[in-house]
Amino acid sequence: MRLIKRQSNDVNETVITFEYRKWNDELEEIVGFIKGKKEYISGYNQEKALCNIKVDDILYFEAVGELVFAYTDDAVYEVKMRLYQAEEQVKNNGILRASKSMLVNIRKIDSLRSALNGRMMATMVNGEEIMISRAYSKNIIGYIKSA
Amino acid sequence: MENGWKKFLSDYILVQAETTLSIGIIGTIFARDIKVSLSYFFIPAILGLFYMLPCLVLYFKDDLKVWQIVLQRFIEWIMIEVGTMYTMKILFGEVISKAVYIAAFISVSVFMILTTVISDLLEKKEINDLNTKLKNIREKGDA
Repeated sequence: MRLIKRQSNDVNETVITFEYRKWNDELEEIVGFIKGKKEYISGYNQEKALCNIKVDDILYFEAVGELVFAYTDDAVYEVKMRLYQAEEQVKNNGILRASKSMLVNIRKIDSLRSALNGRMMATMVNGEEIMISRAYSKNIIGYIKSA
Repeated sequence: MENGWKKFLSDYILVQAETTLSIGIIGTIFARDIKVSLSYFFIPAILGLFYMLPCLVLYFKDDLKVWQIVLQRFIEWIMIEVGTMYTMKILFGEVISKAVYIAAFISVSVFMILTTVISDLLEKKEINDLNTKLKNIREKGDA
């Protein structure tokens, strides 16, 4: 399978074209992954205005009590759903569970370092640090290795 | 919770095997001709459970603070030393000299330190590999 990427200023949206002789399970899996990727989720900013948040811009989600917040580089949004619901929606965007109360965007991790007892400390691209607990570090390691 | 018990049981079986092996090695080297009761068959099982007790918290509590981890490791070390010395006393008694007891005490400590150092080094290597991978993932995303 060859992969061809073509950048063009003439397109209004990204179009993915498959050229194939015979459709197979592997192509079906790729389509499933692309369709499963969520581009935007809704959230309320600090002015309580409803916004569309680009999922790929989110650094991490954090549950504080019954509230769930999505953090980007420059803003915090309250997301009106439970953490497990957010996890389900964004799992195809490389946002995985880091602990009982956090989801982290793997693509926004700048570096990792090991913390005691099988845990890891993730430094995000904006300098913030997120603790990845032992229970979830294996899953995150597996994802990074297979990405 | 269920996963915690499964992991605990599989590690317990491993610890029993390790305990049996170390008793066998020490006995073969230092007390080859002693006769032991059949009830000693259960020593690895009991000793294994004794060694695993301070580790229970690691299977069921996710995020321990640094001082809690240090305390847990200290208690673990004390219990391993106590268990090893007591078992050697029961099995070999006066057959082996004080020097053997001291050697066993030191070797338990040395191996505990070595285990920690080696697993730390392996973890660091894995983390370095992951950081390289993360850099590639970010570069692909930015491209």
